[in-house]
Amino acid sequence: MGQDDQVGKGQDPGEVKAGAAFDALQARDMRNERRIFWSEVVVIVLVALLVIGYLVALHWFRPGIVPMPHL
Amino acid sequence: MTNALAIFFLLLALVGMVPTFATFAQFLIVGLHGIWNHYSRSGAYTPRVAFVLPAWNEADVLGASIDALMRIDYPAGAWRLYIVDDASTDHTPDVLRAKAAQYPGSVFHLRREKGGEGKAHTLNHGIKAILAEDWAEAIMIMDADVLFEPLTLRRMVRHLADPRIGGVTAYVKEGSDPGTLLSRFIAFEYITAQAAARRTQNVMGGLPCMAGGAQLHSRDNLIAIGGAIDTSTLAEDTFSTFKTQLAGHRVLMDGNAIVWAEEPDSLAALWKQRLRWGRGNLQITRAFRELWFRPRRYGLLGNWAFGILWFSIALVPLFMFAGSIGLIGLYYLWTPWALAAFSILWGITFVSYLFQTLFSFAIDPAEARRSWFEGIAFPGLLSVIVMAIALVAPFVGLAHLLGPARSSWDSIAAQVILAWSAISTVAAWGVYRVDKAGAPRWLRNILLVLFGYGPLLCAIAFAAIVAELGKADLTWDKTIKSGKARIQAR
Repeated sequence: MGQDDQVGKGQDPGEVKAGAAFDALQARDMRNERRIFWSEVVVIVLVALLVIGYLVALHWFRPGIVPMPHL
Repeated sequence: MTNALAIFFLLLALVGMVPTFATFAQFLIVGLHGIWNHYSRSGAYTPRVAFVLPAWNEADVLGASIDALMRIDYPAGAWRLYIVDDASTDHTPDVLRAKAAQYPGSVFHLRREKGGEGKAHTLNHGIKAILAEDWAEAIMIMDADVLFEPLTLRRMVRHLADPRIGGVTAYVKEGSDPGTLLSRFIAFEYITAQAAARRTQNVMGGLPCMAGGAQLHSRDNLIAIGGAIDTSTLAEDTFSTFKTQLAGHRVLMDGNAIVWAEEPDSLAALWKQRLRWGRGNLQITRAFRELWFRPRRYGLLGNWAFGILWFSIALVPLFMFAGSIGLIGLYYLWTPWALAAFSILWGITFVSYLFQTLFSFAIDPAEARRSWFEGIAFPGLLSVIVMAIALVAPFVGLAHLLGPARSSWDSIAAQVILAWSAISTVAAWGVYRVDKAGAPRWLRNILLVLFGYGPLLCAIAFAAIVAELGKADLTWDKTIKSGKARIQAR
């Protein structure tokens, strides 16, 4: 069985090229968005560790804490 | 009575933290844009796009903008540029005639004989001509100094494949070459205010403002909002953004679609530009007063998070002053409470500053390489020192550092530190005055680094509030551009 019925019904090469370019652009931009997501995770972890470290240090060296007054 | 006053001042101190909490929360959401974004619903769509560019005495910048547009990657014949000359008195008409001859069929020259009414009127002249024909399927509103990267238009129009989308904006970057300290401050500000904040707003479902330098509308949307740009406020771009969303269309920012613009290179020019923006935001607040904090009727624009973000920016100096008054009031009533509140609140401010600065660097690494110092100095180095005092104080004893006062000098020092939010705002206004008085640039730069670019924006916002309360006139005070913007490495 031939494929004569499909002659001339293929996608225009220009469209294929445009579609491929669009897919590449989409992939690149979505990759950048995912990079930003993971960057945020890293920064949150880093800042959280610093805050925890600070609070632990505060717990061990607490001479300066002024007791709250009773109103 | 004393107890009630102490609680009142404590609440004021907490109110002063609202902008810090709001921007911190906004930054925490940015990364979610990697999961919830519009890319999956965009498509390989290339509508016929009419660019409309208002020009008043733009001879220095127009040529470069037009040439940059000619290099965009978009199907030939699928876009046109309509430049509306607002009765320019410089060489703008000559530049336009030359460019129209150089790019026949792509560049169209429209001229208003009576000019000087402002950007919105000029835009409307062009939009009217564009909508009178059936050709355009989308309309891009841009500024004369804006340079489009080759793929920016493709990145923006792909979202219009989704018929729910009415408008798309781009990430506007500061492109002055060579850069200055001020231009790098602005560049860093745009990472936080655009690349970061608008990603969060995409996740929330809409934007407060599509930047007027690159504002793409579908034809249907532009017709739905009246076929014209608002001329009653100084923030025509924000007005269009609100109207679009109230008309039932969505708007979004594509953070990968980048345009470059030249921003002010003097504090006087910056003050003038931001005063216009600040006043415009307050006019928008009033024009849409029925929608704030009414989520059931107005969806995103009426929701609480959106309202808090909006007011924490529009009224930021009032929050800063409230916070300082709160801490000073506490200092006189219950000094230990003032010191504890200062330590906790400024400690949280430091965490927010650290997180936002590091994350901003990660969002736009290329810009961070150029403006890392301005990112660190954004709140002012003296503010960073105040944060450091808040962090160190609990270790050495708050009372040792800040009080109880052993002398009047100790007392003054303690109060300056407690009221630093308000003082830095006033000091930043002083930097503007010093610059305006003709002080050498090196002195202005040192003062700006010490007192901060953030407090300067806060001072301008206060001036905007004063101008609006005083019902200052609505004259469009244009920012003069010199044509030193370039498309820079990403």
